[in-house]
Amino acid sequence: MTRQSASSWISRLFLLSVLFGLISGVRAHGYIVRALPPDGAVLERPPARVQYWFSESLEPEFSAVNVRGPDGTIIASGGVSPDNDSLMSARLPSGLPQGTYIVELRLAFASDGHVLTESQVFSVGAAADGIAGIRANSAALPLEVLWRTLLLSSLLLLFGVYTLYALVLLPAWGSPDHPAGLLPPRVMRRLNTVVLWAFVLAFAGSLLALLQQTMVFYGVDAAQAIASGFINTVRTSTRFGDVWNMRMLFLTLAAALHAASLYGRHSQPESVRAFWVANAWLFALILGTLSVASHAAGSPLWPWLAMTNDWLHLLAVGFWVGGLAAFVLVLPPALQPYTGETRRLALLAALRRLSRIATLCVAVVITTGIYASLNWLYSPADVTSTTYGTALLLKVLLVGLLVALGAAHHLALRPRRYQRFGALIARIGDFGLTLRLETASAALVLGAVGLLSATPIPKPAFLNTQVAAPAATVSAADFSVTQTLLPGGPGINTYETLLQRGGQPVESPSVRVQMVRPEADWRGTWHLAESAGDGLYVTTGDEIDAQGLWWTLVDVTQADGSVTRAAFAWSITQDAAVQQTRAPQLQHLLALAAVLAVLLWALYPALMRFLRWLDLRPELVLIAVLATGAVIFFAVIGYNAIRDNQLAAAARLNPPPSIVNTVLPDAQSLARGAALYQQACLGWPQNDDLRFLRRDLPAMRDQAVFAAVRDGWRALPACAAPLSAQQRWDIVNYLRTFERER
Amino acid sequence: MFPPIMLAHGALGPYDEVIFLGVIALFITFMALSWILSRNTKPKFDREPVVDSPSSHQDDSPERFKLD
Repeated sequence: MTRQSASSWISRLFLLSVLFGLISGVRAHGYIVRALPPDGAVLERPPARVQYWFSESLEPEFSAVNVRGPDGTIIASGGVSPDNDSLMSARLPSGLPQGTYIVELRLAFASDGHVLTESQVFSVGAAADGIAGIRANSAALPLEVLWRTLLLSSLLLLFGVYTLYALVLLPAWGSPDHPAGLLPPRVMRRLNTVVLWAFVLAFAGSLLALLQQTMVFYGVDAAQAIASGFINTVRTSTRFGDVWNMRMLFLTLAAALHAASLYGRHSQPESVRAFWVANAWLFALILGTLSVASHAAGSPLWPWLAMTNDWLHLLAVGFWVGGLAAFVLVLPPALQPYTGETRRLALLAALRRLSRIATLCVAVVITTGIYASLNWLYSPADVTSTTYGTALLLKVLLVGLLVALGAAHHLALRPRRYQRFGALIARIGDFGLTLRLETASAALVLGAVGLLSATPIPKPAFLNTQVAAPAATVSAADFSVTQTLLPGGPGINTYETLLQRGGQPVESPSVRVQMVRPEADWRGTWHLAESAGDGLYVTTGDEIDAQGLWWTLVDVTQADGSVTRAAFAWSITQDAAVQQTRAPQLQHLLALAAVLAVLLWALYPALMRFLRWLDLRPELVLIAVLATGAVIFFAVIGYNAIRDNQLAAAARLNPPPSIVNTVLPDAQSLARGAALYQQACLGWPQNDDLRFLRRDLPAMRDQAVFAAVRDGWRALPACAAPLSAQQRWDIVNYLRTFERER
Repeated sequence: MFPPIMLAHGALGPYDEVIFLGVIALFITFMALSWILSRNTKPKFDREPVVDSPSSHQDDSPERFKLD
């Protein structure tokens, strides 16, 4: 290769990289779906901790939260919760003075490795003027744009080259006269050159990606990242590194296969085609690694489906854009010996096949693109009122232009069939201009895609509604017990209990917490809360699984061994839940149906070939239909039987109670119950069966204990009448305290 | 005990690894099969009409053109 041709090649590949690279731009990142306290909140008293739930998982090693006090010093630090990698929290010291506090968040999103900084503000007492949180900066990092450009463009080009070879060039131009690859040597040389440069770009992009990720994770420059060994840490201990390792493994395997095809092209020419076809499958897999690390995997609706949809989108773009680019690059040497009508015929033979597959790919790109966009749009107004929606509209318009050009090519490829469009077909001529125009249009579409990718995902409006976490304070003995449920909706919650006496924190040997759902006569296990200092006791649980009335029972053990009960009643609503998922709506189902219809269209020839291959004699078809029907019938029967059994088992384990405990088991109820037990349940303390009742209490539901009080239990007599239902519940609540002694 | 986390994005359930590795195994199998089939079978070029000059084609656009 001469210096001039090498330079020409580099400039072409650079141009392609820039055009393809526009597709990546800067990926829009995750966002806060719930903040406690909310940004800008003015609180009456200082919170015990700050908590932030995100739409996507975070890298624990590289994410942090710092809270600065009114004087600017850092008063607390925290990180990603060990139980939930989309939650960041920091414990605050007690006795914080009034003033405004700034929460600095350093966020490293696990999916794409983006590192952002963002700040939130809350005030205790009164808000300070002029202090506000700073939103995450979504500006592009030049090195990131560079590696994304290199990586995505090269991978799309490689997938495009291999699939173009297998699906277009080989069937259109292939000949056994050329044993190595079945295409003329000049064509194979050009394809090999494209592949070689694309591999170089892919490896360079991958290495740059790891370097840039290390730099942003550790906040160091390139030299430090390389010299310190941080690169290996990122490679082996982050999700970004895991996907990077997998991609490099496949990329190396693909390079080895291609090298094998070059090495054996003289000794085993028949293997060349085999290696090229195999690499088409391998690059389909490599493109899949991009989807694994995309925002589709963090989709609020059916993440697996969104990820598969994203993969399909990439594959279609890979053939459409990568294949078109490879085709444009291979045309000059392929058609070099021909002129005039012969040249046109040679071009048409390949273009007809390319056009057919590209049409399918465009349909797949459009439908999968629509489905992907709907994952992030919550209402039609989002299309016109958000930047994301505007960018989406621009992209749709440009795709429309591209489809129009494709349609014009379709007509020009069949001039006899579409004679009425003769004038248009004549203007298209030898396709030279329109092919270049189509490539330019594709670049514009990719630019719109880049803009779309760089545009932050619109946050659903309901996230702007600030829902306070449920909190209440009760007095028990000489304590003041404050409990907070965070976030306070169905799902995993943190139960915070703050003990104070005369405004001062109190330390206790143990604080235990139990969740109760009285309407279902259901009690959770007792949690031993962990002391976080300054009188704060924290534990976590997933007991709250439905809206409605819930109780929290708190048993505080004092230094002398006595136990004090505090009880709280909560009305749990869905509003307080952290919503990281969304329910499918009609438009999602329609978009999904469109994707499936296009896939069916694309696979129709293969399906028909498969049908032709089948032995469709009537008796065999009848047997197959009957067998399939029987399988479906028994599968449905089996599914229903299993579901009914599960429901029956659940109902047997926890049937709706015939009588519901209506008395909150607080300290007053326990005191009343103790007194009534002494007065009315005569003979119980001396009865041997009380020992068995104590043993069975944890497994007994409240209605069973109520029945024991009302009717007696084994040799225990009924507690003497007359007792009101409330009084019996007081006794039940008191009897429950026997569980403490176990 | 689940296999170590290698590719899981999170929020996709405890079977992330099994599904990802299953997809990889499927594609590697397709790759190997396509290699074997391509290596051991000749392409079926003869089924379709070939044009190599303007006078030899009948259709709007030929499906095949044998490059020299």
